[in-house]
Amino acid sequence: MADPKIIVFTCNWNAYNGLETAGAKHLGYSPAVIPLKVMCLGQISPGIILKAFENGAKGVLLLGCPPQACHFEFGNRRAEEVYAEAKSLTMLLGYREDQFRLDWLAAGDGQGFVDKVEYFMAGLSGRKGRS
Amino acid sequence: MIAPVETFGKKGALILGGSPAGLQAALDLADIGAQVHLVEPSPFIRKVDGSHQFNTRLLEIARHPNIRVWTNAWPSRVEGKAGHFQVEMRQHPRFIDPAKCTACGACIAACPVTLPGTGHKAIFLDGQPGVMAIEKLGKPPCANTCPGGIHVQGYIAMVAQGRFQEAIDIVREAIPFPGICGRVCTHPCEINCRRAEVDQPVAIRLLKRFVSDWELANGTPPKSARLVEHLPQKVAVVGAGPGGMAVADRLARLGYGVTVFEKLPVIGGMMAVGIPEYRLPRQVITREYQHILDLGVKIHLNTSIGPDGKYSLDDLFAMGYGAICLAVGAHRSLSLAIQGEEFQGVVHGTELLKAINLSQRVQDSSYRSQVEAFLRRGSKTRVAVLGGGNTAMDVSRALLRVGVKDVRILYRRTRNEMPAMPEEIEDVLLEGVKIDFLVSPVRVLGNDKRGVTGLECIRMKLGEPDASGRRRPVPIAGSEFAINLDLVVLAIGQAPDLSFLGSDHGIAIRRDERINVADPSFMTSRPGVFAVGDAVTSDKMVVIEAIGMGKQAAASIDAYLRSHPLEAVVVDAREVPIARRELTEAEKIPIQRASVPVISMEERLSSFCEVELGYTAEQAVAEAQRCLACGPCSECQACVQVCKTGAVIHNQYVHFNELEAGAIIFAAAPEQFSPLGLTEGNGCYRLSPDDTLSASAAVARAIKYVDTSHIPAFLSPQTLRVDEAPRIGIFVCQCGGEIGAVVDTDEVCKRCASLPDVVHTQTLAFSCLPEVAGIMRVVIQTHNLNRVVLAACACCTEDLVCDSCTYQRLRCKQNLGLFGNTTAGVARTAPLEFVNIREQCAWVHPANPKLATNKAALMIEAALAKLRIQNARLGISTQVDPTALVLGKGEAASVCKQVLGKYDINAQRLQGLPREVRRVDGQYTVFRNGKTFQASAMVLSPCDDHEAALLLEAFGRPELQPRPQSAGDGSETRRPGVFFCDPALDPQICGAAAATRLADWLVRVTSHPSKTAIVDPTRCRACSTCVKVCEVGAPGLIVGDQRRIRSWIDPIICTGCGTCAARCPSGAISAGTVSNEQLEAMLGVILAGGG
Repeated sequence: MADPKIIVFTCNWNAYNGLETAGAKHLGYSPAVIPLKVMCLGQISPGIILKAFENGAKGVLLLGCPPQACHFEFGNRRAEEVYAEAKSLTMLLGYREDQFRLDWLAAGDGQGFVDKVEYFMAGLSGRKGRS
Repeated sequence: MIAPVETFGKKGALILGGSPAGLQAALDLADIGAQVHLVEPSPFIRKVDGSHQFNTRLLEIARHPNIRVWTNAWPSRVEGKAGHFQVEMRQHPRFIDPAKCTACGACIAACPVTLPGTGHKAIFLDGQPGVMAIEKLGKPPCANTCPGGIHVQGYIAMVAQGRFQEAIDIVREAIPFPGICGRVCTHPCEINCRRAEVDQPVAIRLLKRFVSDWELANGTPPKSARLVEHLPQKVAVVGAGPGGMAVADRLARLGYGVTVFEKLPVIGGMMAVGIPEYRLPRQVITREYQHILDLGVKIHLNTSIGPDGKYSLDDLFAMGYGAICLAVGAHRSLSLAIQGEEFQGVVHGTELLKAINLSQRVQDSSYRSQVEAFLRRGSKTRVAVLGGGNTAMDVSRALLRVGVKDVRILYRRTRNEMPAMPEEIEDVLLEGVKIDFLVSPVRVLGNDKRGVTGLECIRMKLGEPDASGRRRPVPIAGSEFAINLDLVVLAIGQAPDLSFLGSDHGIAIRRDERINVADPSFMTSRPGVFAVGDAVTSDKMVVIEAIGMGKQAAASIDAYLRSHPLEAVVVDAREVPIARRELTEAEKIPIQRASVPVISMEERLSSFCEVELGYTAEQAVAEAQRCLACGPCSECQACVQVCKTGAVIHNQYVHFNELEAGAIIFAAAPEQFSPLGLTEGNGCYRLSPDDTLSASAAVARAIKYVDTSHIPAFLSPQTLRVDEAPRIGIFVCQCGGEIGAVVDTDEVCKRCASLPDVVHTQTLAFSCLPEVAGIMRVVIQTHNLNRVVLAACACCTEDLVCDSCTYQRLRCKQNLGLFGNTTAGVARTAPLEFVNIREQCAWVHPANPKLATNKAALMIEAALAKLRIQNARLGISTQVDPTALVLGKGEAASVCKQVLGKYDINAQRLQGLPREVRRVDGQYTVFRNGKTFQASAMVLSPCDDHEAALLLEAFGRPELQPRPQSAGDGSETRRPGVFFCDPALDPQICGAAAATRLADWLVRVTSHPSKTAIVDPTRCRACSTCVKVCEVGAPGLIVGDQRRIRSWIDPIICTGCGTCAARCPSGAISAGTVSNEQLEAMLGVILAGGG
């Protein structure tokens, strides 16, 4: 079995900038984190989330723009709807609450990226979920 | 990044000032097809508030094919009139190649100079373009004046930082004798040091001595193995003084075999026989000469040259020496031409010094007896030294040390005119020598055995200045007096002794008895024979001058031996200004110069021990910190040494460029306007730096004077050739170690090479350099690649400048031809994917190189998976008609309509309130009084807030209303293609500004690839989900082919967020930069990959 992987979806705007800032500032985090960029979190369908888990992701973290700061104005409203829908599906399939999370990240907040990723991973570690 | 200047034809626009207004005007004009010179006087266009939007805007400008950004530049002259301005642009160098700098920051870390006032280093980055710049006003006065060409401020800066090894390296780069010069240099650098304006100059000489002493105790020995090659030619140098040895040192470093012939029994020339040991210990000379011997230079002592010597010049040529350099110095003392000069007891200063110095060095006892003969009465000998130069001081002090008690100096002018160094004069007085000023000898008095008994002198007064600028001494009649003496020492100057040449040597001698050499090659009239030092000039060379001359002559000799023209040796003669900046108040606070410890007076007078002990490390650092960093760049070259791309260019000069401009828009600081001598009005517009609205209005006035035919054409990403079998190439950037230090790029290549369809993998040192794009093109062609992944720091191949973009990413994309109008668009022959393995791997997983390497490989593999699938979004641009509707009763409406006409936009004005405004068939459609009006774009120009509210409501629900954008000046709204004229503002300005923005928008829509989502009609079931999901109303149901109802997405309204695609139950919509299918494929790869 491969190393456990954490998929972090970021939108192209605030969240991606936060991810990049963490890099530019050389702030370290776990190599288990694999980022995937989409234009807007609203672009992700529940099917993609399920696909990630189905393929063996240990956790899926969605990072978008802060409330009221969505680049597309309504994208994070759609993201929340998708999240709710996908959440119920993952729970139904036996994945734990901690394994799937929606959060936001402000542009330029590199430390925020590291903190949020670490917080998410701390929730995963030590406890068994479906994997 | 910068378009070549010659592509800018006549009638472009000149925008002065990288202010928000300047940037707005530049983008406005560039978008509508004008070519723009944007000029910023400082090296950077700065983020005013640090906002990401501003950074993005700066990058948009940097990549815009119609904008040429000039930083560090300003017009030096403007002539002509509207439509035909001629501008002379003064371009101050950046000293950095913007095509190469990766902004890695290694140079900032290495730079020893922090600028007073600003706190940043002399090399710094502060805005866009996102590449370094060096703050250099000119040459620091110290370095400018050093005859030896030492980067003086550079090593002082290094000492100030405690970086002693780098300091000594800087000195050694220029001269072979840091220890010697650290003791005896006449330090013209200190004389020119600006610190003297505040208190006393920095003790530069003593700092050089310190680093030399430090090197001996702690440093790595000087690199003797600089030899790149051994050249077959040999060079003979005559004279082992500083000039000759500088020639030998340079030539040996170039690879020549050098032999030095020295007549004296010791090395060092005048440094050994003229300068007493208490100033220059002999082991310092020995040590520094040894470094030159280590380069392979041979020295033959006791070897005269000339017809009477061991070898004649012809002999030397016959022995295979390709060139000869005469560096024989000036060892013949000048006589005073007074009566009694021939008496026993009259001696030349250099002769006496030579005897004293050699009596301590050489086994030969004759020198000792010579000294004893001069001092007839031993320690009771009464001595007068005639002269006021360093030789007079050296003789006097040396005599004290051999025990003579009564030594006086007679000088015919005053202390102010004395050519000796002030500190030498001080030491002479301190040690007990009496100096009689304004006294001149008349004749030497002798006894019947022609032995000296005294000196008749006359008192002098100062008259008018002579040719040397010093006041001429004039005898005072009747003031004669006599002094009783045993020894008279003449220290009034030396001349070369050229008698060794004999006759018939073919070398022209000047009337002043110096060898005549060509300027600046130092070749004598005899080909292959060169000469340097005191032998060629009457200017009384000091050590550092002899070294400097030797370096120049060595360059000429090298050229001569390579049969290159000697004139070409002259280094760039363009004058570099001497840095002279205003001192800050803090800099004007005096700081005492560190005094140097010396040995006790008792020890001084009883021995030839070195008087100065030199600084301790703490003293040296404190003293060096007194440096005012005049440059402010010290030219220490530390940045050059750490820059991996070779982006630092220290020898850049001010350039003047001639430009033509149809119109000029001034948007810089107000005080910079009047010096330009421009008149506001026709073709010249003046803006407040922050007034972006007026900027767009000014553009509307300027366009009649500029050519707007250069409509920018941006390219869409290359589409995938799905019909071809994949041939994949993978390039992995090492970013000069930034990536390579953590991610094992070879391992990544190895892993990727085993993936299906991968036919080529390659690491790149720097993928953002222009030449690397060329390499990639060749590889793509050679291997016939049709898919390429570049793992570097760039992160998208879109025609997009987003919040996270950097100058280097844009440069990389531009080099690869991902944007339009680029001559360098070379690699754009296969679809590309970028993966950022720097910010997302190397820089964040330094502790886990193995896992970082694994992750990098996975990310590349995922990009490959994405590349295998065609994204339906083709990236074609949207075509719109140049039509507009102007709504509202505002005064700005008529202004706007008229200006739209200037932009060739067909504008229609509707004054009454519309019942409804909707998008129909991709057009804004107004329903009013049973009629419909359609146009691509709209301007709302209400007469008051009430009308404004009613106009907005006509658009329907709040999300569809064209409210002003949160950032900006209110002219642009959130609705694409809808612009607003604020009724509270000047209608002339906001009407014209809205028209300009509208015109720009039309061009941008048609020239950039669309980001719209696309519906596959065959899969659409017209369920309306997309219509409900999209809050901006881009999707709508239409009657399509075969009268089938389907969804259609308005490409103007669609922002490309992709939410509709996520929700489409039949998967009919493709959107965003990555499709669902691609995401699934990427997830499959990432999660299947092992560690």
